[in-house]
Amino acid sequence: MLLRETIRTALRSLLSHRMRTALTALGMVIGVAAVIAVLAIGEGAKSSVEGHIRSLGTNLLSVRPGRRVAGPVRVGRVDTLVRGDVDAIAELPGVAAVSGETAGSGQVKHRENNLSATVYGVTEDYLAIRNLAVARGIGFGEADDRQRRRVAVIGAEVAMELFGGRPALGERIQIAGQGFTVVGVLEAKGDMGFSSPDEYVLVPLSVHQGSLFGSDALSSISVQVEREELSDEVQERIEQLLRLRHRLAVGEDDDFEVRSQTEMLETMGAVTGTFSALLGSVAAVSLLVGGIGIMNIMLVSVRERTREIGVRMAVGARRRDILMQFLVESIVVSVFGGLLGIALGTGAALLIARLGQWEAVVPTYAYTLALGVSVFIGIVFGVGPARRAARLDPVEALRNA
Amino acid sequence: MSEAVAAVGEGASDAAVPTVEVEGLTKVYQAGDPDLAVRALDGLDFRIERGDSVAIVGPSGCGKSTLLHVLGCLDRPTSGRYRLEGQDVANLDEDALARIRNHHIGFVFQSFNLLPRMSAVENVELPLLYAGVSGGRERALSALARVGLADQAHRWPNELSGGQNQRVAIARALVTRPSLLLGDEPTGALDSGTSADVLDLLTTLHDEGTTLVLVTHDIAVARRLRRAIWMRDGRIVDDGPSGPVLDAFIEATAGGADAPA
Ligand SMILES: Nc1ncnc2c1ncn2[C@@H]1O[C@H](COP(=O)(O)OP(=O)(O)OP(=O)(O)O)[C@@H](O)[C@H]1O
Ligand SMILES: [Mg+2]
Repeated sequence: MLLRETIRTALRSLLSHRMRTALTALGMVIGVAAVIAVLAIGEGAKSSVEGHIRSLGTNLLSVRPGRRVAGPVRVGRVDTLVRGDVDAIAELPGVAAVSGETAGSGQVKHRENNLSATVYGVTEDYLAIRNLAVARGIGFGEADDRQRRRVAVIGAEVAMELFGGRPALGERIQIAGQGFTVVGVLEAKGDMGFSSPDEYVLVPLSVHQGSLFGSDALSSISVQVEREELSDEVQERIEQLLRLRHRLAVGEDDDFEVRSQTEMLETMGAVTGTFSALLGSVAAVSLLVGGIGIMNIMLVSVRERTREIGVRMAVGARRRDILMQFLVESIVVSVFGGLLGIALGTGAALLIARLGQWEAVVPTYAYTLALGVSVFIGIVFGVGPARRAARLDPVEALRNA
Repeated sequence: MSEAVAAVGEGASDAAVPTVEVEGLTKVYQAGDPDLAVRALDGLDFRIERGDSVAIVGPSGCGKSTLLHVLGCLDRPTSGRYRLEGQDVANLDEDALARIRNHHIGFVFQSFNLLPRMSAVENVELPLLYAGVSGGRERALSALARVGLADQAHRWPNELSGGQNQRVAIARALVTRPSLLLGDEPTGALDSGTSADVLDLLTTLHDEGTTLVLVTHDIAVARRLRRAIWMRDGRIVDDGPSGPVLDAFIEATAGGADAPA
């Protein structure tokens, strides 16, 4: 029998049991949606991580306070890094540039416009190290930090919210109730997942630590190494220097951590990997459940339609025609569930993207894969019932009431 | 197996070859214990010439349906020979039997056996779909016209009367122009008026050249056919022109031995 006829027959039989078909497909819907979400999140995380690393600039070492135990989890005091460490690291051989950073959150205002933002205190080299370009204005000058000037560089998004397209340069803004002059607006970078420079509000570190937030602790120190090959060497020097400066006894653990870009990539990979593995097992279990559901319904269907099978055999259906008919039917249910799952999974991925925690991009191969998986499940779990149908004895099947 | 089918087809053109020829045809149902084996067909020998019409009568359980299933290649004999238009079909494989059912046999059942989710014309077209021929829809429509249901082609089985359902089933049986039309009590589920109409249709088809074999409990139906085979316990009691055979059968039945159901 022609495949077209077989598919038509399958559709007709499935449409005559709409509710049952929908429930049967549900497992597949969830399974395939999970597959799509896994792939979308995996892909999104990859591009986020890449974007993040790209935004960090090259030949970078990052010094963070405290100690890392597993993944992103940190223990120990987080106020161990201070301004003096930045200046000391700057003196080390092989170091091209250093910037100390700290963060605090506060209200940022211009006239009636205001928003709450994370305000970063940074030293002069910060923009260069982070590869951030100033679209308008001059950015921080050499004396801004030393002279504790109340100047700010703001991200494109922040400028838009505060000034709504009007020129921001030279304007006064209020940060946590104190007046600042805008000396630069960063180039728009677009959304890169994690934190985007478009949302930054940057002020000189000395001002941040002084009148603005009054805390000595740094959240991180970024070090740019002169050449890639020096990275390990410089990392070691920084560690020795900081142990000395922090007066750590021999055998005492570091109260800071120096990491290279490769190590940062690995950490982020581990986080997204864990998440993907979790969703992946949800997907696997749902697909298994979905497949078993399909098998179950197909067995019921074969039993209900025993007489139909007998009639078809009596008018000339071969065993393989019957096999194909039921196999196609199970593939159709499975693919139907798969298509709904693709829609649901894509929707979920977009929702996750909007919630902003993760960027989610559904890669095109995910659709092909999801369809392939649906067909595969339809075959694997449909072949048993289909073979049972095909093996029926025509006379017995016809006798069936 | 396609060679086998082709051979059957060639046989059809040879008037000297009987449509059906069985020798020692035996069907044994084994129910676990060998002592409990049922010999549903016990060494039957007969031929049916091309264009003949045969009624098979006998008490319930005597093996009529079993015989029809074997003749219709739905079932295989345990032993014995069965030639359909000169071709030995007793030992063909499953696919070859399916093709023979499709090309050479038309089956009509007591309970119609139409597929409920298909319109009349789709039911009639079904054998042609399995045959893989083109223009199936037109042939199905003309088969329906032949049984007088041209205007009901797109109705569903549950929208048609019993007699109409059986006409659709007959159209389905004859749409492939089979050489052998088999009916297992085709009028058994119909009232007498409708039954007569269906029988008229079957005999018309027979007059047009189809070989017809009907199992029936209805003596009036049996009398309309040329020949009768009277069976009991898997064996043939009498075989010949329907008049005398049926008279003898009724007489025996009146004696209480073979009460018709
Ligand atoms: N699958 C089977 N297994 C065991 N015995 C069977 C089977 N099918 C039929 N029989 C037996 O074979 C014998 C013939 O059965 P068959 O159905 O051919 O009778 P029948 O003449 O058609 O009867 P009826 O007039 O009631 O339809 C019966 O004794 C029946 O019990
Ligand atoms: Mg019977």
